[in-house]
Amino acid sequence: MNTLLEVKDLNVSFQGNENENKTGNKSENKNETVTAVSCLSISIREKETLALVGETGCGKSVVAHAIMRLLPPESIVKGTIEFKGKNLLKLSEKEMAKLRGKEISIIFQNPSLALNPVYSIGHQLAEPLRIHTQKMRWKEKEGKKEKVKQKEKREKKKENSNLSKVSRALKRVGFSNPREYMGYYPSWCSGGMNQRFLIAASTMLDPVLLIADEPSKGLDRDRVSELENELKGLKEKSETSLLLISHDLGFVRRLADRVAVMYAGEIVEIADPSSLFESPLHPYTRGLLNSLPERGFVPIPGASPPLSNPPAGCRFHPRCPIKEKRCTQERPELKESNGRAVRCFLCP
Amino acid sequence: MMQEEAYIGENTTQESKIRKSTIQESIIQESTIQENTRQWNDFRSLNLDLDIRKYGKNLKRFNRGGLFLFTFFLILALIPALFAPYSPTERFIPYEAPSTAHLLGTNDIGNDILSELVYGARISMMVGFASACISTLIGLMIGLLSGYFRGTLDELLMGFTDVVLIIPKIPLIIILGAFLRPSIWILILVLGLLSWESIARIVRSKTLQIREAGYVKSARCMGFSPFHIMVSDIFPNLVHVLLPKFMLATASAMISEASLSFLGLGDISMKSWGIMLSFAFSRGGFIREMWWWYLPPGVCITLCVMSIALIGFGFEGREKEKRGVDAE
Amino acid sequence: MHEAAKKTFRYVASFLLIVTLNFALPRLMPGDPVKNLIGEDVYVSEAVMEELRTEMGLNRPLYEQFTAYIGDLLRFDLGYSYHLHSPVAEILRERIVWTLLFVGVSVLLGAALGTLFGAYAGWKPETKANRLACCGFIALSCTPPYFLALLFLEIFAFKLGLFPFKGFYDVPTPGSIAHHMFLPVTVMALFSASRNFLIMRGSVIQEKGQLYALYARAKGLYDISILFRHVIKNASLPIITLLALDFGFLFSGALFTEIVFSLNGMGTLIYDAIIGKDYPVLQGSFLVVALAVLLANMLADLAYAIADPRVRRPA
Repeated sequence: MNTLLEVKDLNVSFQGNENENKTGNKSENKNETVTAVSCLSISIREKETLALVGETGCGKSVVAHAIMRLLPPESIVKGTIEFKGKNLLKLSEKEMAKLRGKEISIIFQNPSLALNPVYSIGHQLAEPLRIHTQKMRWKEKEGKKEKVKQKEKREKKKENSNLSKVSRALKRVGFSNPREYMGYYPSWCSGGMNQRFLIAASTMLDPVLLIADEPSKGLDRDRVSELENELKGLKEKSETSLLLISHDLGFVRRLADRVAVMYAGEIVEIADPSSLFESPLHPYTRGLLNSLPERGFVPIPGASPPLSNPPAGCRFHPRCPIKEKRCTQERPELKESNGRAVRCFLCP
Repeated sequence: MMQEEAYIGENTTQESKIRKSTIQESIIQESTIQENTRQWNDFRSLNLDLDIRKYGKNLKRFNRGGLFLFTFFLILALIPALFAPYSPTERFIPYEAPSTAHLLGTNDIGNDILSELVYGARISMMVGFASACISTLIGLMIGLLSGYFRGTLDELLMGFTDVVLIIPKIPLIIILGAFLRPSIWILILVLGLLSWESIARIVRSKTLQIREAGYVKSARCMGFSPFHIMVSDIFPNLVHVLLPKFMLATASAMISEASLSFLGLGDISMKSWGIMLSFAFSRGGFIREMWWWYLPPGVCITLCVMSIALIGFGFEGREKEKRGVDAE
Repeated sequence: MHEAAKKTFRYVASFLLIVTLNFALPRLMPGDPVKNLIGEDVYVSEAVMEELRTEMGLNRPLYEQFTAYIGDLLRFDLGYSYHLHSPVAEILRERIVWTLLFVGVSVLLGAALGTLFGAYAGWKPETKANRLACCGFIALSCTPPYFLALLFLEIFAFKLGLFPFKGFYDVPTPGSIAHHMFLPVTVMALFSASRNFLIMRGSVIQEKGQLYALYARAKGLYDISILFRHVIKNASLPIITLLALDFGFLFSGALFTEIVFSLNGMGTLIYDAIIGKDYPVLQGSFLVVALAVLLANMLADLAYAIADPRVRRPA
């Protein structure tokens, strides 16, 4: 299988401003830089599902936004993100816009906020279709001039076919009477429904890469298993690769082909789910698994370090139960061995 | 009318947001949405929203200019004798063009226009500040009471506020001004009594927030009287909301005063900039193209109002920054 | 439904307050109510005054006066102007058409201009041009409308001679009217645009940080089309309410502009009434203006309910 997306040495930092820190002294915190992601390298092969797990605030979402180039202009992104052999970071904004929604889609973590409250569901779902087919129509127009009436007719036809595509997509995510729901507005629907609308919108154009940013967040159990089935079905039916970002470990285990564990902006371990969950190597992964309810609910002591001021050496050392002197001084590299990678001195 | 703050953009937005949100409150029931909003805002405040802060910086720059101008006008108003070459009532040859003796010429009855202008600062600013004081005080009281006691009192007071909000102010003031003999005190009183609604609304919404804070609750548990809590626990936290509102109320009161003076409803014995402008229009300054007569007071009004409004914006911008963008 | 009932109640209350104010003012204000009702500068003999007093029922109890007053209102009888020797309602009907035309055109123009420029300025607040526009519009919004009108009149009508400086028309043709109205409408539109600009700018700055705007980008929308296809509708919802609240303010701005440009609308009517102490005309004008503003607010509430799906939710 070919590599679809290759992220190498991704660094994302945000230029801090004065007054930004709510806790600290104003003068002290002037112009500090927050490094949200440092030296991150991951790759996704075609049809593969890679899961990115980690605590809230460890930079998972930032990675997703960086791949889509959705970060605000003030952020500084370094490294390379190769998608189908093209470096996304070097593309112009226009070229990037063509990729977004068509080749790479994203499902945001707050479905109710990601949908525009003042447009109907149908309108919003048809939008990707409209955007990405319109561009082709422009090209057509260059050649021959159409008469206005014909054009109107074509547009109407197009709109109709768009609508039927939308209703098919809605059926796929489990709405039995899609025509009715297309007239609804996001505020009339529950979070779970909005979530499914978003999935329908993001998968409508059969993207090559789908990024799901915490899709299970804020959903109750039943919805999560429904969501799981939908994503599974998606994987089976289409060629889509999936980058799954979540902190729900059970969910990840059932869906992912490979799992990358993130801590404080770094990848600490990459492995396939069965070996990761059965024999975790990195002490953070072990701690994470031990904190699961079914494994005794033992929390990791301490808290994640602030990204603006990460500790020297291994970033996990202040909370690590097996740390050595070396861990506090040197920074470990990601070591690869028989299909697994881990960032720890003490792990083989 | 919405004289009060309406011509100042940002807070009107907030104002209508509040209006909008009261509608929404009843509608959006899912706590998940709020939860999601909070999470998203956390994410945003972590790293994504730098641009509003930049915008705030921008305002601060305005603010500095505004502060400078305002100080200038304030000094004019406090010690006019220092800048005015003559007394504003002294008479010379009427309708004179600018010269070294009279830098801005003289008006129809021979007063030195520059001196008039300098002395006018005091009157214009006094009207603005005094009526803003009145309206802020009324707004504060109504907002505090309705926000703190909630319930029926709140319904009544806010209903009343909404009703008053709709009545067009300038026409009402025109009628009142026409019935009453023009006097600067009546003008101040009328302007003050008719522009407190937006302040009441914002104070109320703020009070509703603050009354749920831990220290207010504990003060209530300790048995302090509502009055004591309102004065010593809630009021200090309202100052930063009131200050920009106060400035903007001053700015709009000054414009109203100038407008009413233009209609001849001002106090002729106390020549404000508005009255100067009105006289320049009605007593031949405009027809004779005496730009030195009608231009300076107009420019002064604009600059002074702008400086006050900019300071108001500056306060607001800084508040937004301090509390984080999402606090609103 | 509860919300709607509350709204309706408030409008009714506002209406009553306006009417009551109008009724009470001449009777409460210092001076002889008869003088207050017929106007100050009208000379009438004592005997006629007495006659008028009984005719207007001023010596009857207040509630009887009030019901009589309401009855008059329902018959569109707003009193008689002894200055202009004609019923107030008739005078107003002549004048208000022009003012409404003038205000309507300016409000719409101003809203369109202010919304568009404001949206763009909020979308890219950091560019030099937008910052400059922001400064300019702040300055405009801090200028008393009549001063702006004076400046325009001086520059474009007197100095450059491009436009006529008084009246609605020379001959009543659309061309002449447009020529005459150009300057006053420009002044009012600029004034109203300045307010909408600032509101829209703030609103867009707030809305563009919302997640749906980011999601629109993620769908493949390109830069400015996010603004036009998504953000602008959300951001302009508050404008609807504000436009209505502003309507009253613009109305009074229009009064001043009319005075400066000597347009024979409500503004000059009120100005002359103030100078001549013609109270019936003043009162009638206030009533009409207040009702117009009330109506505009009601329309805005309706429009808002239609435009915002969050307000109308199926049961």
